[in-house]
Formats: sequence, C-alpha cells, structure tokens
Amino acid sequence: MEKIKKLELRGVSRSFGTTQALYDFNLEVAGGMFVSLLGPSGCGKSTALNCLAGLLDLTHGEIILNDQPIHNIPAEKRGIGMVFQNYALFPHLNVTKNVSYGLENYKMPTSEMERRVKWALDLVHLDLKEFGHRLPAQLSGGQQQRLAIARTIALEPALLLLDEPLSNLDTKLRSEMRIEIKNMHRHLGLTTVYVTHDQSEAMSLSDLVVVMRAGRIEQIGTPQDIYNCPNSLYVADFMGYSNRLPVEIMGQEGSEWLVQTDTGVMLRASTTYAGNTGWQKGDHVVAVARPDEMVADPLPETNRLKGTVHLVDYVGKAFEILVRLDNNEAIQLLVWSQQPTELEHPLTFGIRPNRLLLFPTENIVSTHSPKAASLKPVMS
Amino acid sequence: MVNTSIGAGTIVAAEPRRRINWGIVLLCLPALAFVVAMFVIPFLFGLNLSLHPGNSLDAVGDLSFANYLQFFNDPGQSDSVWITFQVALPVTVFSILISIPLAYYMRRGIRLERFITTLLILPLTLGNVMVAQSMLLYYGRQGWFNQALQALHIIKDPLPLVHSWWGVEIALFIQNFPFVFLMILGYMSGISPDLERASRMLGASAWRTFWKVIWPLILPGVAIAFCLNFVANFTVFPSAVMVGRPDDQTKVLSVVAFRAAYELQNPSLGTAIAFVMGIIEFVVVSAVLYARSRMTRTSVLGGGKGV
Repeated sequence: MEKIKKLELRGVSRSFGTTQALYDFNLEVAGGMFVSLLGPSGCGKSTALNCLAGLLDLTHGEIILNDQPIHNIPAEKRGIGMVFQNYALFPHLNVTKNVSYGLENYKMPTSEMERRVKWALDLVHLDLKEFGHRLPAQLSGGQQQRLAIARTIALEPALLLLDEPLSNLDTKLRSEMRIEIKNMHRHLGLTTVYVTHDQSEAMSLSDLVVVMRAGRIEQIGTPQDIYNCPNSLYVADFMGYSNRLPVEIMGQEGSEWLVQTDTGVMLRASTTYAGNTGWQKGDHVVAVARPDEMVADPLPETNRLKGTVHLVDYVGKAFEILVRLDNNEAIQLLVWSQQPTELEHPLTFGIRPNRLLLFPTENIVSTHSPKAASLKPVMS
Repeated sequence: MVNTSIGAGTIVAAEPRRRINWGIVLLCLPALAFVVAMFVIPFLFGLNLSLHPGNSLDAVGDLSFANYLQFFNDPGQSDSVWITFQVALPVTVFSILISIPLAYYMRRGIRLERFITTLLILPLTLGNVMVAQSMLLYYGRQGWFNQALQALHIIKDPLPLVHSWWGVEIALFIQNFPFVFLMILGYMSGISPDLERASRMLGASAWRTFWKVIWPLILPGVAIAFCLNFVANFTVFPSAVMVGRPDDQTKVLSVVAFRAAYELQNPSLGTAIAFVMGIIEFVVVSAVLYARSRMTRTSVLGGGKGV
C-alpha cells in the first residue's frame, strides 16, 4: 500500500440520535507517526477511531489522506487496518486462514499469500508450523492478540488503527506486547492511531498524544508536553496530578505565583493553564501536584508544608505517604519519601515551585456526560 | 461471548478414577422412570406389534416382516413415502430460505421487532386445527383471498389454495416457520458484530462477509432448524386431512398409517408404517447432521477469551 504522507481530520463530528459523541475533531498526523487518543470511556476516542476506519459515517467534517478525501469511501476500500479490542478473530478459521482472509479479499497470488502469512506471523512471533492449524479458541489471550495484529499487518495497510488492544491482557503480557507494538512500529514505520484509556501506554508508545474529554480534544502534544505541562485541570488529573490544594492568589513574581493555603502557608507555584489566567489577588484557584514530586526526603529547600503521617505505603522506588495537613485535616496529600516514617508523626515536605501547578477551580467529576464539556471553567 | 463448545485440542486434566455418585443416580431415577414408561416401553411395544402381523393388539404369532413387505409391495401405500417428501421438503427449504435473509436483516434489532416477533409467535398458540379451519374460510373458493383477487381482476377462477398440496404447504408454513426463523435469528444475532467489522476492515464486501464469516457460523443452527422443521413437516397429519387432498396429493405417511390402523382395522400394519416414517426421518436427520459436520469442523460461535 501507499505510504502515508499526511492524514488530516477536519472538523469531524458524529452524533448518535440526539447524543453527540464527537465534536469538531481536528487532527493532523504526519506519515509514520504513532498517535494515541487518550481518555476515559465515553470520551469519544473510539468514535473518532471508527470514523477514521469508515465503520461510522461522519455527521460533519472530512478526512483527508495524502490530499485525497476518504470519508466517503466504504471501510473495506479504504485500505486501513484495524485491530479490535476483543480481537474479533474468526472462530471457524485456523490461524493461517485468519491471516490469509484479508489477502484473499485482495485476490493475491498463492505464493505471495503464503509469503505474507509467514512474514506476518513471524513478526508477532507466532510459529506457523506450531500454530498454523490451531483455531483461535486454542490460543491463549496473548497469542490471540498477536494473531489479531498479524492478520491486520499482513495486508500492509497504509494506516494502522488499534482500539485498546492491550486492555484484555494481564499486566505482564501487557507490557511485553507494548514493547512489541513499539518495536513493530519502528520496524515497519506504519502510521498508527492507538486508542487507550491508559495514560502510561499512551506515554510510552506515542509520538503524539491527543487527550479527549466528552467528545472534544482537550490537549494535543508530545507525551512530555502532556505529562509536564497539562493545560487544564482535567488533563492534569488524568496525568496523575492527584494532590489538590485549594489556594488563594497573593501576587505574581515573574513566571511564579505567590499563593496562600487556607491554613496560612505561603507557597510559590506556576501554571501551565492554556486559558486566560488573569488572576487577581484574592482569587481562589486550585494547586495540583504529582505525589512523586511532592517529597519529604530529600526535602526541597523552599515551598514547604507540614502535616501528620496517616498511612505509609512502599511502592518500590520510594515510600508513598498519606499526609493530613496540619490545621486542616480534610486535606490529604500523597507524598514521596526515600525514608519510611512513623505513623501519626509530624512530617515536613515540599515541592519545587515549577511543579506545583495552578488551575482555575473546575468541576471535572462528570467527564462522561457531554454536558460537562460545555461547562466553562469556573473562576471563583 | 459465552464459549459454546470446547475446541478439539483442549487439554483436559486426567481425571481420577471414577466413582459412582449414588446421590446423582437417585436424582436421575424419576426422570429415567418417566422416559422408560412414556417412551421406551411404548416404542418397544410398537416395534413388537409391527413385527407381528394380524388384527390383534396382543402381538401373537411368529416374528415377521410381512407388514413392512406389504407396505412396500403395495404401490398405493408405498407411494406415500414420495408424497410425504413432496409435502415436507419444499416448505422446509422455503422456510429456511426465507428465514436467513430476514434474520440477517434483523440481526442487530430493528424497529417494531417485538411486535413482529409477537406476530410470528401467534400462530404457534393457535394449534393446527384452528389454523386449518381459518384457512378454509380465508383461502377457500369463496374466501376473502380469492374474492379479493377476483375483484381486482388478477385472477379469473379461484385459486385452489385449500384441499390441495398448496393448502398443506401454507398451513405448515404458518405453523412451523416461526420456529425456524426464531432459531436462525438466535444464531445470527449471537455472532459478534465485531467479526463483521473486522471482515470489512480486511477488505471484504458485505456479500463476501456473509458467505465467509456469517454463513459458516450459522450453519450448525441452520442444520438443526432444518432437521426439527423437516421432522415436524414430515409427520403432518391434521393439515393434510383438513386443507389437503388426503386421497392423492397429500396422502402422507401419517394418513396411510392412520387408515391402516383405524379404517382397515390393522393396528399392526399402521404401526409398521409409523416405523417406516420414523426410520426415514432418522436417516434424513443423520444425513443432514453428517453433511454439516463435514462442512465445518467446528461449531464454535465464540472462541475463548474475548473472541
């Protein structure tokens, strides 16, 4: 198949009856890129993928592949490969037949077909001799996954779509397959669009991550961008900024903001918020931080908070400590430390000003309903 | 999806030496007694009776195949085998052929599905005699159907839709089609829609997807539906008498057996004819199931984790 130079989705939207699943989706992908659509269930990421595949018609918008519109071409003629979440292997066909199914549709000569079947199965490390005659039901979950990928790759599609391909595998297999998918992508240079709700999968695999929320794109960026500079509280929440601290704006110093917690502690913070900050003294905002960046040992020199140790949990690299803030026990923060600490003992911890991120207070609980998307960030 | 059967290569752990679980044996006894009393004994009684020609129900005299020979040597009786096939096969094949596209169309659910299903099930609740009686009124020479067609000048003379082969075909279709349809619909809607999507993504048209994916997966269901429906149609009796022509066009085996037993007062011969009927059904069902097993090696609808 022809290699992709550029894939564009312009203003793509899709409704189901009165419910709109996808709003004005715009994305430009260069050939050979690995793009992830990331978001919780119901955020429209699978809808976007199915629109791209041709399995769903667009309500509005267009899809342009190498300057040719493809959104009116039926799925079976788009030359796009797709791996399904539940693999969708043909239960009545053996491994070889499952792989050659697509090749037969393109009326390939037998010799070429045999070569491709072997090549595709080799690529996913399924031995043709050992597994060729087995039915899908006689394969393990991981082998079924490999077969599903081989079946799609055999056609050498211009574009590969993967719909949560690892979500049915156990943790160990998942990380193995993740590495294999990454290797395969590097080896073949296939332009790939990958749908997942797992941020670590998206981070480790992608060149570009598209964070979605209630049918809309929330942020597009490289994994580093998204991880370090989330442009909304929603993305921050998704990227593991689970510590939240309500604070009041006291002033601004260069790129840093001076804020005060409701217990009177002064902190320095920054923001990666994409919207208009325009915060004035006395405004209430929320400060968020990742547990691994809010540390007790080694203790940062400035920007410190005090609390009482409530729980200690060893997470491998460090101890994760649940701390109740002094003078306001309602606020619980997760803090990392190289040293274990005693329960109910006081603990001092801190965070670098550029890793304590400020966002407008926002309701992000109901990310599943499309209505949530129309809620403007609330400034209080 | 639920795993409906285990693939051929599944490894089964070696079982420890079997011990008889008397509790389970006891639990099975009532059902077993019922089957023996209600089926096995009458079956053996009938078999014995058919092998003792004569007018007595006591099965006296020597074992003999005279009844069977008499049936096959009398063309007036044995031609009913062919007649029964002519009655049973077309309506069975027709029901299957109608069901498959209809079920394909309805496989993802359609509007008014519940209403349509109810409409289909309704004839099942009516019973053969009621359907036949209604048909006599509706499809008869003076019935609404013929009157309407005549009024519209589509036909000149009334169509012989009752007291004919057609009458039996229509009656059997009304009574047995719902079974066939619902069964095939069940198989069809049990196939994951992702298989069809996957097939499209691999470049197959809807037509090719049907023949390469859906058809092999519903084939077991079609075979079973065919067998059940064929047996039901092959044993037709009330309809053959009431809306058919039991003297020639619809002189099916059950009619011949009935006449032998109750008009010729020869229950032994009647039983023998019933056994001929049973054997033919058995042969047909076996042939269909054998053909099915040759066509697809497996009957799995789902295959293991996540398929």
